[in-house]
Amino acid sequence: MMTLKRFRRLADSYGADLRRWPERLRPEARRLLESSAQAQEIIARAEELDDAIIAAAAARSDSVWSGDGPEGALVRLRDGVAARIRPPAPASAIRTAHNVPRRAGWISLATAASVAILAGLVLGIRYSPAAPQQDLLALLQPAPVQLLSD
Amino acid sequence: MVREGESEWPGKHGEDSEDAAGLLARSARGDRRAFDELVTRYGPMALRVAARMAPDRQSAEDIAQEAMVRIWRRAEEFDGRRARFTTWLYRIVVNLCIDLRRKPRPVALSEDFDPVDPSAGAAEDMEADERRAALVRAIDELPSGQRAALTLVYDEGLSGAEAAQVLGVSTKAVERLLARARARLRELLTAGHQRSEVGI
Repeated sequence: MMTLKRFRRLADSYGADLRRWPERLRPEARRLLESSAQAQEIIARAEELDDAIIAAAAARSDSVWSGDGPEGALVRLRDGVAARIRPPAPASAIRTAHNVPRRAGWISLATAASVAILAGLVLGIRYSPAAPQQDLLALLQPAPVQLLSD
Repeated sequence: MVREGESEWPGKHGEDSEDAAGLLARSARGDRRAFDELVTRYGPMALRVAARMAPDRQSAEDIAQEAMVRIWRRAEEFDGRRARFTTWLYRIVVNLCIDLRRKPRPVALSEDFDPVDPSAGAAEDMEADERRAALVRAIDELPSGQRAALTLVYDEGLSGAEAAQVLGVSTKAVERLLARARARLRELLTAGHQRSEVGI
């Protein structure tokens, strides 16, 4: 059987509307409410606070959605979400995304490095002077091929 | 899952869970149209809860958007047999709101803060408005957990057990959060009444 103390505690949490109370406790709470003046007083007091909370919540909501209202917010939400999402790739594409591009990345890097080395060699041979004109310049020139072979 | 008190309370969270789960499953396969339908159907709920807990409208809209994007990205993780879609959505929105409140932010007053009522003889209305405004501020200042519990149970019509699931705490803990929130608000209301009785 529900005690007045338990009844008060539940009203302190859930307020006056018994539909918010835990379902299994409602029948006992209703019985107590019908038979006890104190229980009725507790509910009347809780109801006063409920009304104030509901009015405050409505006032806040009105101030938040002033202007174009929640409908405008929903339009912005839909547009904003649509702009941010992309359809997830199918499973095969996910595999590709994880493996192949990484390998492809290494291949492209190696290719670029080879091309750069070849270009450097070609340019070096093409523009290398027969004899260095200054000591400092000589240091910057590629080494003659015959020296490397020694 | 315990769904205490779900049948009677006329909450705003009713969902055809199969429908939501179906839309989500299609979304997980990349069906943008299904996800758009999900946003249309549950976006208002995300916006409503965020608006109750976030400091302003822009933050509320940002939070609702972020929640929906997270759902899209994690759609395939959802298991409709273990939880309801709305519980998941509530949890994401509430957590984002709590995270936002943890971040320090400058306090700015809006331009229409504390407007003066030009009409004469509106003393009673002003008093009621002031009391309501004070209560709104008091709700805003409640600790995150209390505020979330109040929003879920009072505004969204969730049962204590459902709110507990969203917040990841026990039903008893939700009852304690609600009781503390109500005690704080009652204290404020009582103080307001006493001030008006002595003509302050």
